[in-house]
Amino acid sequence: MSDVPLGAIPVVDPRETIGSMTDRVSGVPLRTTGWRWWWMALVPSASLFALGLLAVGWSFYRGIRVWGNDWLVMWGFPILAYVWWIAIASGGTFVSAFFFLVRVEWRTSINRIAETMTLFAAVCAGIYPILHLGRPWLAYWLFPYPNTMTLWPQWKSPLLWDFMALFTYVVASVLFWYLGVMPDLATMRDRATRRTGQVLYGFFAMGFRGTGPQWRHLKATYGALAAIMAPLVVSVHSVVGLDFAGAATPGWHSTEYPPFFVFGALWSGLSTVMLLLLTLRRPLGLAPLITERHIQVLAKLMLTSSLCMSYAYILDAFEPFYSGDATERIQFLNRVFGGYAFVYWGMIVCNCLFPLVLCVRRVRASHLMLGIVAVGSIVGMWLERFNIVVISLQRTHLPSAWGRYVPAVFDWMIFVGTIGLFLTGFLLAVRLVPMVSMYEMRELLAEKGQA
Amino acid sequence: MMRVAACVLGLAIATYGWRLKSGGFFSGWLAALTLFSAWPLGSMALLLIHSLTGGRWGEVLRPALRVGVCSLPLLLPAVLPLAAGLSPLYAWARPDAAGHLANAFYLNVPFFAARGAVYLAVWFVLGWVVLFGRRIARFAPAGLFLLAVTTTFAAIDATMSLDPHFTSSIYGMIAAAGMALLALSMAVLLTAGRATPDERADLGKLLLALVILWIYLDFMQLLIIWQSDLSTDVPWYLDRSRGVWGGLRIAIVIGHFVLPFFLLLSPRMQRSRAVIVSVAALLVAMEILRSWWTVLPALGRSVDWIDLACMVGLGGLAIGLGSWMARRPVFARQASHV
Amino acid sequence: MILARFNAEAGLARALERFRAERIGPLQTYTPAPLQGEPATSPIPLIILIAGLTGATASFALQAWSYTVAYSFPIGGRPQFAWASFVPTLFENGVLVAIAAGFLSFLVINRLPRLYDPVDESAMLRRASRDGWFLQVATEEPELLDRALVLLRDLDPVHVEELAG
Repeated sequence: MSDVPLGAIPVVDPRETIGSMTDRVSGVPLRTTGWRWWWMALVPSASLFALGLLAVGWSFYRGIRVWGNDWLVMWGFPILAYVWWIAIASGGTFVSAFFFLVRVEWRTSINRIAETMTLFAAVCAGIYPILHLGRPWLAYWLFPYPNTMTLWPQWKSPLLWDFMALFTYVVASVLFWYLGVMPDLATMRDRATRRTGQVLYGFFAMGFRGTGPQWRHLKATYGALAAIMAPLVVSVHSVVGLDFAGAATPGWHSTEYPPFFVFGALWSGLSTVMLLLLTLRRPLGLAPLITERHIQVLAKLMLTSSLCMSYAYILDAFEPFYSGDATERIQFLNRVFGGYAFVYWGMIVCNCLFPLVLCVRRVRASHLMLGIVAVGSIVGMWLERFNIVVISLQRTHLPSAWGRYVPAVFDWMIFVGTIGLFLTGFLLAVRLVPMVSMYEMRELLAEKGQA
Repeated sequence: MMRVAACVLGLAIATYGWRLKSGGFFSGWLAALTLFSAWPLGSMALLLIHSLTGGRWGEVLRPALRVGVCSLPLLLPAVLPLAAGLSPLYAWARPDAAGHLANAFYLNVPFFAARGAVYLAVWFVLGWVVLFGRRIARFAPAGLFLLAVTTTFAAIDATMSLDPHFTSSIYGMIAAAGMALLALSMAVLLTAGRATPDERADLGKLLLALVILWIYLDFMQLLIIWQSDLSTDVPWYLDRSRGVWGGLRIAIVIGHFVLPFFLLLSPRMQRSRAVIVSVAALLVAMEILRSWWTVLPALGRSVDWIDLACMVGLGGLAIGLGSWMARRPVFARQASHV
Repeated sequence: MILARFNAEAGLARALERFRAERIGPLQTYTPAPLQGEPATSPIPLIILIAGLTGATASFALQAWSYTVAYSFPIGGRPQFAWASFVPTLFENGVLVAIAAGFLSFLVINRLPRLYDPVDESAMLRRASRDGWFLQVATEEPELLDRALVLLRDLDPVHVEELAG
């Protein structure tokens, strides 16, 4: 599978020094030209976001009956999209926190992009549970706050664990991202030429000057936070899996769901990081820092996570027949051969069969093919969520409760609206914040003797 | 020499025990077999993973992991008592109980034997590739995938089917995590004397990570089954929560997770030889206890000296065979190549 | 105070050694990246651990109390003290408290935000975030400053600046 050892591909261009790297990365937000591609990407994204806002406004006005959620399939697009987004978000934390703990070289230049992706994907994910509460203005009831109704949250419910997990994850991602970006904001403050830039960057850099104690405490805090974020991201996705596994709906009560969802997070998260890297490295001029090594390592990790998904699907198919439960068998056969069978088979092709082309070295060398596999991954994971959420609810225990699910136009509008929100937010971040972790790159360059 | 003596003694006691109480012998043998088959399989998995990821831990542990893989041939004679004991052990192997089982298409003796043969064939091929292969990284993803699937279904066949109504799709993953942990602990015990403090820190971090992985997987199974409270799944846990098994369960949580977790948290403790060796020994002991906790309650038995004799016997044989084979010139020559 | 700029980490490391040997201080460094070879001890990981354990314990206590005493509601025959279902929330809450405590203690220990510091009067300090390795002797005693200037002549800095305050 690998004839050229990955270690031989340089992880950073040999001609970069810490000065040239700093100029290259910090020059991007300060640039005034070369943003045409950015505007061409921002306008459609903002339009999609506006479309989503319209749909959300309409849903507030008329109630969520304008969505497709209805008897008999009560959970539809909102939960599907929530799980899809949180899986993508988790991939970013895997790259930045988990791979920090194992001290790999290739994480250094891509972790800022991954963490920024996590921020916006987590926000997009968090919108859905609030929206589909039905009375979102009462969302604060999920908090255990002292109230006159003497009410407490339902601690035993996986949906509450989900709320706690998502809340913790968003707060933790923001703090972790901000801690990592603080030294780079100090660089931006020192390099900004216009007064507004200097003031804003200076304010958010909080006066970080790179003193010995500041670096010492930053490294210790960042390391400890990474050590906590790595289990946190696994727990967030496991709690999402528990949302389903705790129920008695056929097809959901499977003990492998928590790690299965973690595999799915790895798969779609890493694929999205790959897509972002492939599209951003040239327009931002980061190609000397995000080299072929990063692409190839991510490609191999994608292949590994696809194999993990295949393993989970094998057990998912084995369990209904081994357990001998008639309803499980009926729901599985419906999945595979019923009206929505194209969803199941599309999922198998996109997540298990097509990614096997990554075994071929020539395919891995082609960025176009990698992009196609990555797009296939996020489509395949969307199909998988549809498969899990909708198709299981179509074949519950009582035949009188079997029905079809038809997504409404507002479901689609909100979904593309969140995609617009993610892209808009990410594009704004590209414009304002350095997209490579400069202080970690300096350490890497020093290790390589290129300081 | 001591190992040979231990295993001969253990085998002798176990054989004598077989003549006396055949029911107890078979379950004790099954527990010992599932535990000590974890050593070669877990070692294979760790070697394959290391060929993909690299890392100092693998360089340090490679000789000990190879010893583990070399103990694989023991599986062939060791499954013979299992084959002889199918009826006393498994309800589905008895014609009177098997009739009304819905999963009889899977749990029947011919299919079980065929699957067992496939698992053994796959493991032997993988073992050969790991020990003699020149470029393991090329086959590692496919090898790990095959290892994962065969280990999962072997665990389902061997221990999950003791209760034919119990289904847990994470069972294979828990078994795999336990196997990796056992293999790593055995390798650490065999190597810890020669490792530097930095290498010990790496090993400590790896042990900590696997301990956390194991408790996560095990707790997920408990939580999901507890939550839904279905009558097909819960008896498995109820049988293992009563009486001495309940106490053992708490002991396993403390010994398998709480103690190693807090001992391995601080970098200073990770570097200490005493801590690493004692944690590894503790984990091996906990895996033994867990093996008994998994197998014996299904047959309504309590821990007996025969179980201990089977463990000692099979364990001694495994260690003896592994280290003897690893010292053979053909294996030693390969070790210097990889 | 005196601010000396070196153009490589090695130069600054050597200067630090000499200054510490001569006991000229208090010293401060301003660098683009953490200095290698400096001890990395910090109380923050311990603070994070303690905060996390406290948060998790408090969360468990709150859940257990509210479920058994405050709002005891039998659902599906489940036991009131359902410790297994309290575990996910206690883990998440523990992590939240730990991370918030870690971030806050980072700010507090470094006394950030510190938007103005007398050393900012130096224009060349802006290179500290790019490729300049700075050593600051933060004292007003003329005798120490003179000794520092003498020492710096041997150490070959790129630039030396004297500032007030």
